[in-house]
Amino acid sequence: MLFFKTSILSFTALLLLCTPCWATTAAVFPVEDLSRGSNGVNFEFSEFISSSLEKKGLDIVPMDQLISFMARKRIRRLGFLDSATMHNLSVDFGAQFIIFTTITQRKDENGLSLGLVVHILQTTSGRIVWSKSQAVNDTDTRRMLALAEPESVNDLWYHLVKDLFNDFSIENITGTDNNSAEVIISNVNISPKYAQSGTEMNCSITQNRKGDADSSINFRLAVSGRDFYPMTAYSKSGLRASWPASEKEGSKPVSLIIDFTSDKKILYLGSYTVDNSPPELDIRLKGVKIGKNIVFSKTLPIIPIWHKREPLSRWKISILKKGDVTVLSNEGSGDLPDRFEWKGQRKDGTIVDPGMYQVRLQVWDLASNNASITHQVEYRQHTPQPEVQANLVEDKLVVMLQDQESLVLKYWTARILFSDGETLVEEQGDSLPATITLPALKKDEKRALECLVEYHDVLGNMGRKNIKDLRQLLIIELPVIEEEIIQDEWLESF
Amino acid sequence: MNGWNRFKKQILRVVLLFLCLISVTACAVRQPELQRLDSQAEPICSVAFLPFVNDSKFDMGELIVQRIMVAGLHNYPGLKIANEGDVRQLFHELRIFPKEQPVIEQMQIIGSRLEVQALIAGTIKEMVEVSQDSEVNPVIEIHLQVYDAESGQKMWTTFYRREGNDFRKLMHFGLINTVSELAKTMAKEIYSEWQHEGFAQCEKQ
Repeated sequence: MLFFKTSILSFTALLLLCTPCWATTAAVFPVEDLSRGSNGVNFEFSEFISSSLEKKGLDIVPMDQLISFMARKRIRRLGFLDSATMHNLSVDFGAQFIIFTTITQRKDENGLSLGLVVHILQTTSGRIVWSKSQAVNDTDTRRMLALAEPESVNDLWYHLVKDLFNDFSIENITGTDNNSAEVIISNVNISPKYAQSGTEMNCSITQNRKGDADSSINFRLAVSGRDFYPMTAYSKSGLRASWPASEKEGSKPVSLIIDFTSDKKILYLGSYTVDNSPPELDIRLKGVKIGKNIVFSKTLPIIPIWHKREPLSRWKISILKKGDVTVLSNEGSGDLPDRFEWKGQRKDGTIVDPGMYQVRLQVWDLASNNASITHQVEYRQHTPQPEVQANLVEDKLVVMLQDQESLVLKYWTARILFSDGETLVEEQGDSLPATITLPALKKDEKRALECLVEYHDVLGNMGRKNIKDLRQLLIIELPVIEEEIIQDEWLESF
Repeated sequence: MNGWNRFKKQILRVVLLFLCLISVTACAVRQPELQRLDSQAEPICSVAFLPFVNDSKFDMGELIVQRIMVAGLHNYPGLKIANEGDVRQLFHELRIFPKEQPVIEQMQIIGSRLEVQALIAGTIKEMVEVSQDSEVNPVIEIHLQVYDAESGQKMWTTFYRREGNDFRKLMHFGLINTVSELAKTMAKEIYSEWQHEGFAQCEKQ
């Protein structure tokens, strides 16, 4: 009797020990419902999928435990998982497979339709081992005399799931190739991406080893395919390596070499660029060249001109007056704007004094190489003052427009008209002094002669003079009247 | 007797007309437009799908078509498909924003890290279900690009537009009534065309 009991107990214990070897465990994730947007989920259908697969002989991870796992791992989206999380799932629940179901379309009104996609992934390899998609609508399910036709999406659902898993068996997935990567590499970071020669470069990675992974795995970095640097642990799963940026300029590829006991794997991680050259650019001040100076009076467009365009980390533009005193400055990160403008104002908006100023543009590229360009500009705020004189030459009225010191004329206009609006003369020119001869006037002409003169300089400034009656300006030469000599004594001959 | 013969001839004419109609519709089969840009020496046995871009107004159209296209590859033995989660993780790591295509170097990194030979990118140009009387006519227009993962260069592109009505055989027989089924059928036709380029010609490893 004792022998019998012992045998039973031994057999039961053996059975319990071996159960995990036989059981195939799967985690059925909540059904993702794309018909309800990117966050759509359907728990009712998830339960149905679980029970359908249970009938096929799969052990299913309880949904509440799975939800708790999702919360722990901050899984916000359904339908996919990265390999590292899949590995965690297999460690936590012993799940060999993950089942993702997606509702691709679902229509409840004005005709029924439902579409499903099922992916079964192996947690060890992260590969899809079985998948199927199917869709149906009410037209597809029409029958003779409308017998047993689906009346709701739920009817379509049962019909569809039955069809989907019709040819599914555990052998389909357990017999698949278990070509698992022993190490999962994630969170690769190479910094900085641009560096000057000699700058300390860093590369960090996160590695997750599978349970049965070789413990003697070695990690190295290969820079430019010929310089090798060992990676050292800085946390439980974090590895990093440092090296000086190479002397030669250009892009340097960085690869990870994973040395297994009998094999090695090379993964390309990215690259960094060695750059020792400052940015090559200039600025063009769109003012007016007067003598040796660039002059402006209203707005000065400042245009950066690239000799060799490259991305920038930051820039700064400043307006300086004598003694490097900053009048105005602006700075930003990233690429340069296409153009800047200075309206001759200080930071507080007030207009600066006329005089010489410096425009300085400083730029820093992604490797922190700096370039500074400075150009001088003159701010000239001067309104031309037309100077008009009139004279009578041989009964004709002559108007003279005089030149002015410091005026760089672009053009002048003059309009002479009678007080009632009749235009007598209208002329323009581009040089001073200038003379306008008016036609002879009638002797009995009583109307006033109004004169409008405008001077426009090359900086865009304009000065205007309005003379109400030109004849007021006339320089009239009066005849010399000889002074009468008063005799202060009596003349006999008178 | 003459009447019976005449009746038989009429029946024969109707049958012949019916066969002609079927043959005419069978000739109107469309094929994906494939444009080769670079030749691939080895057969492609491992691929990764880059997140598709949706230019249509069909909500979540990019995910729907992508998931269905991935499912369609299950029938090709030996072909390995990279996990969508790993692709998205790499996009996050490389700071590639949604709707953005990776640059050549990013393609090379994705290819090497996922250990795949080719990368498949796609844009859904049109996706709609048009209601016609009591029927629904789904329409999908898709543009796919296949990149060599090692060089990051485009190998070939495929443009394909299909409607559910294209599959009509007789009356309502053969019609495809859902975008999901249409996407599945189109995927099958596209993969069949790609096989001439060495796609999924693998022995099960």
